[in-house]
Parts: sequence; structure tokens; C-alpha cells
Amino acid sequence: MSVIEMKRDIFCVIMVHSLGGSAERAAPGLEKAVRASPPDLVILNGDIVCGISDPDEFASAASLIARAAGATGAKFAVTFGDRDDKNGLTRADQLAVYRSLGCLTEAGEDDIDGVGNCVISVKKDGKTVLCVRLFDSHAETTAYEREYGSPSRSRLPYPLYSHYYMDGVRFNQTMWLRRTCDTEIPELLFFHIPTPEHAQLPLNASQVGFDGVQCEEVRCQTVNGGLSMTAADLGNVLGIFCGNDEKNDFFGHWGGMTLGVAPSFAETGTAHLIEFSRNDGKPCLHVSRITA
Amino acid sequence: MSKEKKTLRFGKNGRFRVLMISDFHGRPDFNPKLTAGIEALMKYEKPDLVMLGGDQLCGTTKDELRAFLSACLEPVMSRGIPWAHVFGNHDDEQPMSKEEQEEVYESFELCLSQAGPSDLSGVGNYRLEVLEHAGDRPMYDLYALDSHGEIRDYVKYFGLSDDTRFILPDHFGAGCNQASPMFDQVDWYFNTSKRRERELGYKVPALMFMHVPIIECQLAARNPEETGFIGHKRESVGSGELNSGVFMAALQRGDVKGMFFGHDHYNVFQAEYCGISLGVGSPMGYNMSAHDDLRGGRVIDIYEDGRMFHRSVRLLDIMGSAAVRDPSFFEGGDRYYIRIRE
Repeated sequence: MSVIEMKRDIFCVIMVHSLGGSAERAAPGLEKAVRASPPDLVILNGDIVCGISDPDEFASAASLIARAAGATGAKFAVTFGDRDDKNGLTRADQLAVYRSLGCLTEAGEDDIDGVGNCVISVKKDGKTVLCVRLFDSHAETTAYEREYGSPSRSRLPYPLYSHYYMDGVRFNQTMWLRRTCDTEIPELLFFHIPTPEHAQLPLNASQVGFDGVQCEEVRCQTVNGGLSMTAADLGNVLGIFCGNDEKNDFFGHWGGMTLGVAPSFAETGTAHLIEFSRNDGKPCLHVSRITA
Repeated sequence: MSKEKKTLRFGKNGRFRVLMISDFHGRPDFNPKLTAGIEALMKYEKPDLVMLGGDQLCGTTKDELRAFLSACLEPVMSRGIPWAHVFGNHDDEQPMSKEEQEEVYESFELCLSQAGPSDLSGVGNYRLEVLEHAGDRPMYDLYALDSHGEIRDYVKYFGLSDDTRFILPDHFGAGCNQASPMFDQVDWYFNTSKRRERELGYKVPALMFMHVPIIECQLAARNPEETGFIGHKRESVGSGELNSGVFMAALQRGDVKGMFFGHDHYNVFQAEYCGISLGVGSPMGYNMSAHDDLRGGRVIDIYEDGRMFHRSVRLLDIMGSAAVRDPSFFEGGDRYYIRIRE
């Protein structure tokens, strides 16, 4: 388990995703965002370096991003998104590259789906005060054909919320959360593809304290893996932060948690800033945006 | 004798037939056509097991429920066919708790329902096994899950007090706010299935029964061509839109061949999504809103070699006009609105 020391009273996480095809273009913006609010942890929440087949090229692009993320000395972690599959390297190989650059993400248990399901524990005075949990949210439902032998016609033209066949955090990953979570310690969850519950937020704007904009359909998971319901049940999860969407940028309260969907960083230059602190001993979360 | 009677076993032809009937919406003074309908189904389909798909719903006392069940299931009991049930959303609204109702069900000799592990949410989460014809190896598992009532049941399940600022949405993309099995039930299914594969050395194919359809039924109905939709959809699928990942769990385990639901009165259809067959609707009741041409059950044929086929069987087809609630007026889909003259 990776460990970060909480140096201040506030633990600040910057989350960006979808850095676009060009690391050269994305890196300066990321560095600007990081310098604007020196974070304790930068989470590259999927679609980080995309469309590169050559391993050396990938490594240099990844190191550009990693350098930008660590511009103020912060640690960084990655989760994998759908477009990370479009590199020449497998997810495990990509993770090895990121880890060589100081990434905190670990490969995770073998018997649950995906690469990079891990927990980063934030410690203060030797005591864990916060867990940051990362999931691999896979790519598209076409994977079910490969992995579960579903017929190819399982790709449906009219899904419920969006016309993208997104996969997401699967049931055995949800079980892993349930199994390994300590309900005494607050947690933040990060992964690339939003859950169907995220797509509910814009529909119930007044109920959920909707903060932000919805410009397009939420490209959420097609088959619910039960993560949000479970997180709400556990009660110690403070927030679930996702990406995948290009322009949607919103937060909302659901099930006692804050759910967030960030826009593509390449497209909008917006990063989500998630600050954890304790107020009168109670865990407390403040979310905002930074635009580079 | 009794034990062997309650054992589910594949027939000589390698087939085992489950008849699912649901939504009786029974009252102490229920319409006797219900019994006649069940009689016709038993005679015509000769099932090996009858599964009641929820919303049996009767009366306020145990005696009333017992009397209702023995009356309407007389055709099942007189043939010595084992039967089981799941609870529906309206069974939850009864003055009697589901635990009390469960006692009544279990008091019947051939009822195979079980209350299930007491630490799980809901009542009636259990597994039945179908043994091979010549031997004692389980070749098929039947899972029954309690699918609760409305989505707000999740708040109760989470153990939160009413004043907690816990918000579940009012508006859904497809407009559905039913509940679905809670996480611990799905977890129980997943672990049970996994444990059985480890113990037996092979994956046991399975069927899953619950009352409220899951959102994937909605998804399938929206894409009739891709999912091989067969049947009638005359109202929106009454599925829960948010859930604990029961379909994903079944997909990941890869053992569930079909999932079967009741609940809908005007939808009777089947479709296949991601390799799992979904069967929605087997409305039987006469004391509820229903269409005469949809009333009927669902026949699920499973085979020792793992194959599974299912179809709906309609009372109108096997009983003719005797299945119609009111002979002077035929209730049916738009194109069936015709008056029948004697």
C-alpha cells in the first residue's frame, strides 16, 4: 500500500483526465494547474497518454506528464481509462512505465478485474486519516464479448444514458471495495468512467445541489456494477470522482457523498480540486475547479 | 418419500420444466378464474416446479394467506408438484411482515422456499438445486432473490435514520424508481456460485428469479433487434434504474443463463443481453389491472447439458375465452379492443 504523509491540515488532490493525444501540449497546462494550487497528490484519472504505439515514445510522453504533475513536488497516481487501451503497450506495461516515474498506483490483486485497483493511504502522525482508492474502469462493453463470451450484438444502439458502450467498475471490484474498506477511515474514490448514478445528477439538479454544467450526455457505465450504491452504504466514502466526458463539468451530492464528473483536460484545461480536511473532528470535503 | 418428492431432479429426457407465474394480487375473495388458469397451465405444460414470481399478496392474517394459497395452488398441490416463491414489492406493503408470510409459505409440505440467510437483506434469498437424472450431481442452480419495493428501501437498508440528508433522486432517465436486490444479496449469490464451482469442480449453470425487473430489461426492450426481443411491451418496464450490480455480477460469474421477473402487468417479453436471457412478466391475476391476451405464465425448460429455453404461455391460447375476465368486454392491447358477443 502506498503511503503519503499529510503535511498540512488540508489534503489537496488535483484530478485531471483525458490529456489528449499530445503530451507536449498538455504538460504546460498541467504544470500551470499544479502550480496554481500546490496539491499533495495529482491524480491522472484515465486517458493519460493516448495513441502511441512505440514504447520509447510512450515513456517520453509519460515522463513529460509526470514531470508536470510533480512540478511542485507532489506525488502522482494514475488510473486507466478507455483510451489508454489505444496505446501499443498493455495496461500492465504502461503502469510499469508510470511507476518508474514515481507513480503511486499499484497493480492490485490478481483475482479482480483490471490493472491498478489500489489504495493510497494518507497518514498523519503515523495514523491513516484518509484512503484514496483507485479503480480501473476498463474501456467498452465490447470487452464482454472477449471476456464473458457475450454475443457481439450486445452492443446496443440505444443504451440508457449515452450512446457510448462504456464499461466501468465491475462487480468484483465493488466486492473488493466492500471487503477491504475500513469504514472508520474516510475514503475518496477515483476512476475514469462515471457510474449511472453520476448520470442521475443533472436530472435531479435541485435535489442534489448540482454545481456545474452538463453540455452533453454523461458517458457513464452501461451495466451498473453497483459501486455507487455500495459506497453510499459503506458511509465512509466522501466522494467519487470520474472523468470520461469531454465538456460535462459538475458536482452533486448523492447518497451522502459528493459525486463529480470532470471535463477533458485537453479540451477545457479544467482540473478538479478536491480538498480534504477535518472540521471539529468531522471529515469534510471541499471541491472546486482550476482552469489552466 | 416426502424428501424425494421435494428433490428436484431432471427427467428421463434430460429436461426439467419450471413454470413461473406471478402477480396474483390475491384477495380473500379472489376470482376463481385464477385457480382455473393455474389448472390449465398445469394440465397443459406439466411443469416439474412452479415458481411464484411475487405479489401473491393476500389478506391481513396468516390464516387468510394460508387459505388463499391452498385454494389457488390446489392444482399444483393436488398433483404433488413442488413449488417456491419470491416476494414482490406489494407483498412488502402487507400488514403482515415478510417473515410472517414466509412462515405460512414454508408450512406447506411441497413449498421449497426458504427464508435464506438471516444476515442478508430481505426475506427469501435462497438457492435450489436440480440434480441429474441418474445420480446426485447438481446440474442446475435456481437462485431466488428478494427484490424489495422502491428505491427508497435502500435508505432503510443503509441503516440511516430518516433525518439523515440522504438523497435518492426523484427523476430517472427512464422514469423508474423500483428497488432491486441489495448489495449483500448479490454478494451472497456471487460467493455461493464461486464456492460451488470450487467444491464441485465445475460451473453449475443457473437461473435467477426475482420480482422487480432490472434495468437491463429496459435496455433490452429499447433495442429489440439486437436483443432478439419477442413479446409485448405495452408499458414502460417497471425496473429499478439504480442497482447493486446484479446483472454485472451474473455476467462476471458466467453461470446465469436466464433471469426471470414478474412485476409488469402489461409487459410480457423475452430478450437476450450479453448472453443472458431475460424473461419479463408472467401476470396471472384477475384482481388487478391486466390484459386478457397477456395473462399467463412463463415456461422455462432447462436441460441436463446446460441448455435453457423459455417462452411465455398465454391462458388465452390454452383456455380460449374462459381466460377472459369479463366475457362482455375484452381487455387487451390496442388492436385487441374488441367486444366479444356471446
